[in-house]
Amino acid sequence: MASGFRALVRRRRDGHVVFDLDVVHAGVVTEALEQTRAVLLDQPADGAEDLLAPPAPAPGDGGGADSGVQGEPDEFDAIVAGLGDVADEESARRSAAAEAGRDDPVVRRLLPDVYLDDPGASAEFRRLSGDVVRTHKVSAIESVLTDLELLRDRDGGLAVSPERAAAWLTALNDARLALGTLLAVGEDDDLHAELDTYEQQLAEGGLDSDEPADQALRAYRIAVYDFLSALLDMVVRALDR
Amino acid sequence: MPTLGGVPDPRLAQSPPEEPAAPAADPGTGTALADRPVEQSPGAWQTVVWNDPVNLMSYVSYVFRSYFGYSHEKAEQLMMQVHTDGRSVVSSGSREKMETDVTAMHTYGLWATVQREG
Repeated sequence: MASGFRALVRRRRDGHVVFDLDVVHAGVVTEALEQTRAVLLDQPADGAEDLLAPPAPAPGDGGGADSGVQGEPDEFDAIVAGLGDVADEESARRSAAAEAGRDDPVVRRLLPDVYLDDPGASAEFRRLSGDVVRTHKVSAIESVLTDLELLRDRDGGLAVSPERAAAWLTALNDARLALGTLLAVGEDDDLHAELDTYEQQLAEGGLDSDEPADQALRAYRIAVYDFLSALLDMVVRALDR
Repeated sequence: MPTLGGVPDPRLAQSPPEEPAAPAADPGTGTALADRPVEQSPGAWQTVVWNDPVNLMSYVSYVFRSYFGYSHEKAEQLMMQVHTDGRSVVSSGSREKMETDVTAMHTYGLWATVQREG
Protein backbone atom coordinates (compact mmCIF):
# COMPACT_ATOMS: atom_id res chain seq x y z
CA MET A 1 0.00 0.00 0.00
CA ALA A 2 1.35 3.42 -0.86
CA SER A 3 1.71 5.71 2.08
CA GLY A 4 -0.01 9.06 1.94
CA PHE A 5 1.25 10.09 5.36
CA ARG A 6 3.93 12.69 6.00
CA ALA A 7 7.11 11.54 7.74
CA LEU A 8 6.28 11.01 11.40
CA VAL A 9 9.44 9.18 12.50
CA ARG A 10 13.09 10.07 11.99
CA ARG A 11 16.50 9.06 13.28
CA ARG A 12 18.51 11.75 15.02
CA ARG A 13 22.29 12.01 14.63
CA ASP A 14 22.85 10.67 18.14
CA GLY A 15 20.89 7.54 17.20
CA HIS A 16 17.70 8.46 19.01
CA VAL A 17 14.43 7.94 17.19
CA VAL A 18 12.16 10.99 17.08
CA PHE A 19 8.39 10.54 16.89
CA ASP A 20 6.41 13.49 15.56
CA LEU A 21 2.88 12.26 16.09
CA ASP A 22 0.33 14.95 16.89
CA VAL A 23 -2.46 14.54 19.42
CA VAL A 24 -4.85 12.98 16.89
CA HIS A 25 -2.34 10.42 15.61
CA ALA A 26 -1.21 9.60 19.14
CA GLY A 27 -4.84 9.13 20.14
CA VAL A 28 -5.52 6.69 17.30
CA VAL A 29 -2.44 4.60 18.15
CA THR A 30 -3.28 4.71 21.86
CA GLU A 31 -6.78 3.36 21.24
CA ALA A 32 -5.49 0.57 19.00
CA LEU A 33 -2.79 -0.45 21.50
CA GLU A 34 -5.06 -0.33 24.54
CA GLN A 35 -7.51 -2.63 22.80
CA THR A 36 -4.76 -4.96 21.63
CA ARG A 37 -3.53 -5.16 25.22
CA ALA A 38 -7.07 -5.94 26.39
CA VAL A 39 -7.29 -8.82 23.89
CA LEU A 40 -3.89 -10.14 25.05
CA LEU A 41 -5.02 -9.98 28.67
CA ASP A 42 -8.36 -11.53 27.75
CA GLN A 43 -10.24 -8.44 28.91
CA PRO A 44 -12.11 -7.48 25.74
CA ALA A 45 -14.04 -4.24 25.99
CA ASP A 46 -17.81 -4.07 25.72
CA GLY A 47 -19.59 -2.42 22.85
CA ALA A 48 -19.80 -2.99 19.12
CA GLU A 49 -18.18 0.36 18.34
CA ASP A 50 -14.83 -0.73 19.69
CA LEU A 51 -11.97 -1.06 17.28
CA LEU A 52 -11.25 -4.67 18.19
CA ALA A 53 -14.62 -5.70 19.60
CA PRO A 54 -15.37 -9.32 18.76
CA PRO A 55 -18.59 -10.10 16.91
CA ALA A 56 -21.57 -10.51 19.23
CA PRO A 57 -22.03 -14.16 20.23
CA ALA A 58 -24.94 -15.93 18.58
CA PRO A 59 -27.93 -16.56 20.84
CA GLY A 60 -27.65 -19.94 22.53
CA ASP A 61 -23.88 -20.00 22.10
CA GLY A 62 -22.57 -21.00 25.50
CA GLY A 63 -19.20 -19.47 24.71
CA GLY A 64 -17.22 -22.08 26.63
CA ALA A 65 -16.01 -21.93 30.19
CA ASP A 66 -12.93 -19.82 29.75
CA SER A 67 -13.86 -16.26 28.89
CA GLY A 68 -16.54 -15.57 31.48
CA VAL A 69 -18.61 -12.47 32.00
CA GLN A 70 -16.80 -9.21 32.60
CA GLY A 71 -16.48 -8.45 36.28
CA GLU A 72 -16.63 -12.07 37.33
CA PRO A 73 -12.88 -12.76 37.38
CA ASP A 74 -12.27 -9.87 39.79
CA GLU A 75 -14.88 -11.12 42.24
CA PHE A 76 -13.57 -14.64 41.92
CA ASP A 77 -10.01 -13.46 42.52
CA ALA A 78 -11.10 -11.44 45.54
CA ILE A 79 -12.73 -14.47 47.10
CA VAL A 80 -9.91 -16.92 46.46
CA ALA A 81 -7.30 -14.36 47.53
CA GLY A 82 -8.71 -14.57 51.05
CA LEU A 83 -8.38 -18.35 51.15
CA GLY A 84 -5.36 -20.56 51.52
CA ASP A 85 -2.05 -20.03 49.81
CA VAL A 86 -2.05 -16.90 47.69
CA ALA A 87 1.04 -18.01 45.76
CA ASP A 88 -0.69 -21.21 44.64
CA GLU A 89 -3.73 -19.28 43.58
CA GLU A 90 -1.58 -16.83 41.67
CA SER A 91 0.16 -19.67 39.87
CA ALA A 92 -3.15 -21.35 39.03
CA ARG A 93 -4.56 -18.04 37.84
CA ARG A 94 -1.58 -17.56 35.55
CA SER A 95 -1.94 -21.03 34.05
CA ALA A 96 -5.61 -20.37 33.40
CA ALA A 97 -4.83 -16.98 31.88
CA ALA A 98 -2.18 -18.58 29.68
CA GLU A 99 -4.82 -20.69 27.98
CA ALA A 100 -7.56 -18.09 28.09
CA GLY A 101 -9.01 -16.73 24.91
CA ARG A 102 -7.45 -19.31 22.60
CA ASP A 103 -10.75 -19.77 20.76
CA ASP A 104 -10.41 -16.14 19.60
CA PRO A 105 -8.76 -15.93 16.14
CA VAL A 106 -7.08 -12.64 17.10
CA VAL A 107 -5.50 -14.27 20.17
CA ARG A 108 -4.39 -17.26 18.08
CA ARG A 109 -2.74 -14.90 15.59
CA LEU A 110 -1.00 -12.86 18.29
CA LEU A 111 0.06 -15.97 20.24
CA PRO A 112 0.40 -18.76 17.68
CA ASP A 113 1.05 -22.39 18.57
CA VAL A 114 4.74 -23.30 18.60
CA TYR A 115 4.01 -26.68 16.95
CA LEU A 116 1.95 -26.79 13.76
CA ASP A 117 -0.04 -29.97 14.34
CA ASP A 118 0.33 -30.52 18.05
CA PRO A 119 -1.87 -28.25 20.18
CA GLY A 120 -1.05 -30.32 23.28
CA ALA A 121 2.71 -29.81 22.95
CA SER A 122 2.07 -26.14 22.17
CA ALA A 123 -0.03 -25.67 25.30
CA GLU A 124 2.58 -27.51 27.36
CA PHE A 125 5.31 -25.27 25.97
CA ARG A 126 3.30 -22.15 26.83
CA ARG A 127 2.85 -23.41 30.37
CA LEU A 128 6.51 -24.33 30.88
CA SER A 129 7.80 -21.13 29.29
CA GLY A 130 5.58 -18.98 31.48
CA ASP A 131 3.59 -17.60 28.54
CA VAL A 132 6.58 -15.37 27.77
CA VAL A 133 5.31 -14.05 24.42
CA ARG A 134 2.16 -12.63 25.98
CA THR A 135 4.25 -10.99 28.72
CA HIS A 136 6.67 -9.43 26.19
CA LYS A 137 3.87 -8.13 24.01
CA VAL A 138 2.01 -6.53 26.90
CA SER A 139 5.14 -4.86 28.27
CA ALA A 140 6.07 -3.52 24.80
CA ILE A 141 2.57 -2.07 24.44
CA GLU A 142 2.80 -0.48 27.87
CA SER A 143 6.17 1.08 27.06
CA VAL A 144 4.69 2.62 23.89
CA LEU A 145 1.56 3.77 25.74
CA THR A 146 3.85 5.70 28.09
CA ASP A 147 5.61 7.30 25.10
CA LEU A 148 2.24 8.15 23.57
CA GLU A 149 1.14 9.86 26.75
CA LEU A 150 4.24 12.07 26.57
CA LEU A 151 3.55 12.72 22.87
CA ARG A 152 -0.02 13.78 23.59
CA ASP A 153 1.19 16.11 26.35
CA ARG A 154 3.64 17.89 24.07
CA ASP A 155 1.84 17.36 20.73
CA GLY A 156 4.77 15.66 19.01
CA GLY A 157 8.55 15.67 19.11
CA LEU A 158 9.51 12.82 21.43
CA ALA A 159 13.03 11.36 21.18
CA VAL A 160 13.59 7.83 22.51
CA SER A 161 16.54 5.43 22.51
CA PRO A 162 16.69 2.78 19.74
CA GLU A 163 16.00 0.10 22.36
CA ARG A 164 12.86 1.87 23.45
CA ALA A 165 11.86 2.52 19.82
CA ALA A 166 12.09 -1.24 19.19
CA ALA A 167 9.06 -1.71 21.46
CA TRP A 168 7.12 0.37 18.91
CA LEU A 169 7.84 -2.27 16.26
CA THR A 170 6.18 -5.14 18.07
CA ALA A 171 3.40 -3.04 19.58
CA LEU A 172 2.38 -1.45 16.26
CA ASN A 173 2.66 -4.77 14.47
CA ASP A 174 0.52 -6.55 17.06
CA ALA A 175 -2.23 -3.96 16.62
CA ARG A 176 -1.95 -4.49 12.83
CA LEU A 177 -2.15 -8.27 13.27
CA ALA A 178 -5.27 -7.90 15.42
CA LEU A 179 -6.94 -5.54 12.94
CA GLY A 180 -5.80 -7.56 9.92
CA THR A 181 -7.33 -10.69 11.45
CA LEU A 182 -10.64 -8.93 12.12
CA LEU A 183 -10.64 -7.46 8.61
CA ALA A 184 -9.77 -10.92 7.25
CA VAL A 185 -7.12 -9.29 5.09
CA GLY A 186 -6.34 -11.59 2.18
CA GLU A 187 -3.53 -11.92 -0.31
CA ASP A 188 -5.07 -9.83 -3.05
CA ASP A 189 -7.24 -7.44 -1.07
CA ASP A 190 -7.14 -3.80 -2.06
CA LEU A 191 -8.13 -2.07 1.15
CA HIS A 192 -7.50 1.37 -0.34
CA ALA A 193 -10.00 0.69 -3.13
CA GLU A 194 -12.53 -0.56 -0.58
CA LEU A 195 -12.06 2.59 1.51
CA ASP A 196 -12.38 4.80 -1.59
CA THR A 197 -15.63 3.08 -2.57
CA TYR A 198 -16.99 3.55 0.93
CA GLU A 199 -16.13 7.25 1.00
CA GLN A 200 -17.62 7.73 -2.46
CA GLN A 201 -20.86 6.06 -1.38
CA LEU A 202 -20.98 8.24 1.73
CA ALA A 203 -20.44 11.37 -0.36
CA GLU A 204 -23.21 10.34 -2.72
CA GLY A 205 -25.51 9.98 0.25
CA GLY A 206 -26.21 6.28 0.14
CA LEU A 207 -24.35 3.25 1.43
CA ASP A 208 -24.67 0.08 -0.55
CA SER A 209 -25.30 -1.96 2.54
CA ASP A 210 -28.02 -3.20 4.89
CA GLU A 211 -25.65 -2.72 7.80
CA PRO A 212 -24.31 0.84 7.64
CA ALA A 213 -22.88 0.64 11.18
CA ASP A 214 -20.90 -2.50 10.30
CA GLN A 215 -19.67 -0.88 7.13
CA ALA A 216 -18.60 2.26 8.99
CA LEU A 217 -16.73 0.16 11.56
CA ARG A 218 -14.97 -1.78 8.81
CA ALA A 219 -13.99 1.47 7.05
CA TYR A 220 -12.65 2.85 10.33
CA ARG A 221 -10.65 -0.32 10.98
CA ILE A 222 -9.17 -0.14 7.47
CA ALA A 223 -8.18 3.49 7.99
CA VAL A 224 -6.49 2.70 11.32
CA TYR A 225 -4.80 -0.41 9.87
CA ASP A 226 -3.50 1.67 6.98
CA PHE A 227 -2.14 4.33 9.32
CA LEU A 228 -0.47 1.77 11.62
CA SER A 229 1.11 0.09 8.56
CA ALA A 230 2.59 3.39 7.37
CA LEU A 231 3.82 4.21 10.86
CA LEU A 232 5.42 0.78 11.35
CA ASP A 233 7.20 1.10 8.02
CA MET A 234 8.56 4.49 9.15
CA VAL A 235 9.86 3.02 12.43
CA VAL A 236 11.55 0.13 10.57
CA ARG A 237 13.24 2.57 8.20
CA ALA A 238 14.36 4.84 11.05
CA LEU A 239 15.86 1.93 13.02
CA ASP A 240 17.43 0.52 9.87
CA ARG A 241 19.70 3.51 9.38
CA MET B 1 4.29 -0.87 1.79
CA PRO B 2 4.21 -4.36 0.35
CA THR B 3 3.11 -7.08 2.72
CA LEU B 4 4.35 -10.66 2.66
CA GLY B 5 1.15 -11.86 1.07
CA GLY B 6 0.96 -9.04 -1.46
CA VAL B 7 2.10 -8.91 -5.06
CA PRO B 8 5.83 -9.70 -5.29
CA ASP B 9 8.05 -6.75 -6.05
CA PRO B 10 9.98 -7.78 -9.19
CA ARG B 11 13.01 -5.76 -8.13
CA LEU B 12 13.27 -7.82 -4.96
CA ALA B 13 12.53 -11.10 -6.71
CA GLN B 14 15.60 -10.93 -8.91
CA SER B 15 17.96 -9.39 -6.37
CA PRO B 16 19.43 -12.16 -4.19
CA PRO B 17 22.62 -13.41 -5.80
CA GLU B 18 24.07 -16.78 -4.81
CA GLU B 19 27.23 -15.55 -3.20
CA PRO B 20 28.59 -15.78 0.32
CA ALA B 21 27.15 -12.96 2.32
CA ALA B 22 29.30 -10.66 4.41
CA PRO B 23 29.37 -11.35 8.16
CA ALA B 24 26.66 -9.65 10.13
CA ALA B 25 27.56 -6.08 10.98
CA ASP B 26 26.04 -6.12 14.44
CA PRO B 27 28.59 -7.48 16.94
CA GLY B 28 25.86 -7.90 19.55
CA THR B 29 24.25 -10.70 17.58
CA GLY B 30 27.42 -12.27 16.27
CA THR B 31 26.26 -15.82 15.89
CA ALA B 32 28.37 -18.22 13.88
CA LEU B 33 25.18 -19.43 12.19
CA ALA B 34 24.58 -16.03 10.70
CA ASP B 35 25.79 -16.67 7.19
CA ARG B 36 26.16 -20.41 7.02
CA PRO B 37 23.67 -22.07 4.70
CA VAL B 38 20.83 -23.26 6.87
CA GLU B 39 20.84 -26.76 5.34
CA GLN B 40 24.35 -27.46 6.69
CA SER B 41 23.56 -26.44 10.24
CA PRO B 42 23.60 -29.22 12.81
CA GLY B 43 20.53 -30.44 14.61
CA ALA B 44 17.33 -32.22 13.88
CA TRP B 45 14.88 -29.37 14.35
CA GLN B 46 13.96 -26.31 12.31
CA THR B 47 12.27 -22.94 12.68
CA VAL B 48 9.82 -22.36 9.84
CA VAL B 49 8.38 -18.89 9.12
CA TRP B 50 5.07 -18.95 7.24
CA ASN B 51 3.62 -16.50 4.77
CA ASP B 52 0.84 -14.22 5.94
CA PRO B 53 -0.94 -11.32 4.27
CA VAL B 54 -0.40 -8.79 7.06
CA ASN B 55 3.31 -8.59 7.87
CA LEU B 56 5.25 -5.96 5.92
CA MET B 57 8.15 -7.18 3.79
CA SER B 58 10.39 -4.42 5.20
CA TYR B 59 9.55 -5.51 8.74
CA VAL B 60 10.12 -9.24 8.16
CA SER B 61 13.52 -8.57 6.59
CA TYR B 62 14.40 -6.29 9.53
CA VAL B 63 13.42 -9.01 12.03
CA PHE B 64 15.63 -11.61 10.30
CA ARG B 65 18.57 -9.22 10.43
CA SER B 66 18.15 -7.95 13.97
CA TYR B 67 17.27 -11.27 15.66
CA PHE B 68 19.42 -13.79 13.73
CA GLY B 69 22.15 -11.31 12.79
CA TYR B 70 21.73 -12.29 9.12
CA SER B 71 23.19 -10.07 6.40
CA HIS B 72 20.90 -7.81 4.42
CA GLU B 73 21.15 -10.15 1.42
CA LYS B 74 20.36 -13.29 3.37
CA ALA B 75 17.46 -11.66 5.20
CA GLU B 76 15.95 -10.45 1.91
CA GLN B 77 16.44 -13.90 0.38
CA LEU B 78 14.66 -15.65 3.27
CA MET B 79 11.88 -13.05 3.30
CA MET B 80 11.33 -13.51 -0.44
CA GLN B 81 11.25 -17.28 0.03
CA VAL B 82 8.50 -16.89 2.63
CA HIS B 83 6.69 -14.60 0.22
CA THR B 84 6.94 -16.75 -2.90
CA ASP B 85 7.10 -20.32 -1.49
CA GLY B 86 4.75 -19.72 1.43
CA ARG B 87 7.38 -20.72 3.99
CA SER B 88 11.07 -20.67 4.74
CA VAL B 89 13.38 -22.51 7.14
CA VAL B 90 15.14 -19.64 8.90
CA SER B 91 17.19 -21.56 11.47
CA SER B 92 17.95 -25.10 12.59
CA GLY B 93 19.47 -26.73 15.64
CA SER B 94 18.38 -28.30 18.91
CA ARG B 95 14.72 -28.44 19.78
CA GLU B 96 15.25 -26.05 22.71
CA LYS B 97 17.04 -23.52 20.50
CA MET B 98 14.27 -23.73 17.90
CA GLU B 99 11.65 -23.14 20.59
CA THR B 100 13.61 -20.07 21.61
CA ASP B 101 13.76 -18.84 18.00
CA VAL B 102 10.07 -19.47 17.38
CA THR B 103 9.20 -17.70 20.62
CA ALA B 104 11.23 -14.71 19.43
CA MET B 105 9.47 -14.75 16.04
CA HIS B 106 6.10 -14.79 17.82
CA THR B 107 7.20 -11.89 19.99
CA TYR B 108 7.92 -9.98 16.75
CA GLY B 109 4.52 -11.04 15.39
CA LEU B 110 5.77 -13.41 12.68
CA TRP B 111 3.96 -16.71 12.23
CA ALA B 112 6.55 -19.42 12.93
CA THR B 113 6.58 -23.05 14.05
CA VAL B 114 9.09 -25.68 15.23
CA GLN B 115 9.35 -28.83 13.15
CA ARG B 116 11.57 -31.87 12.77
CA GLU B 117 14.13 -31.59 10.02
CA GLY B 118 13.38 -33.42 6.79
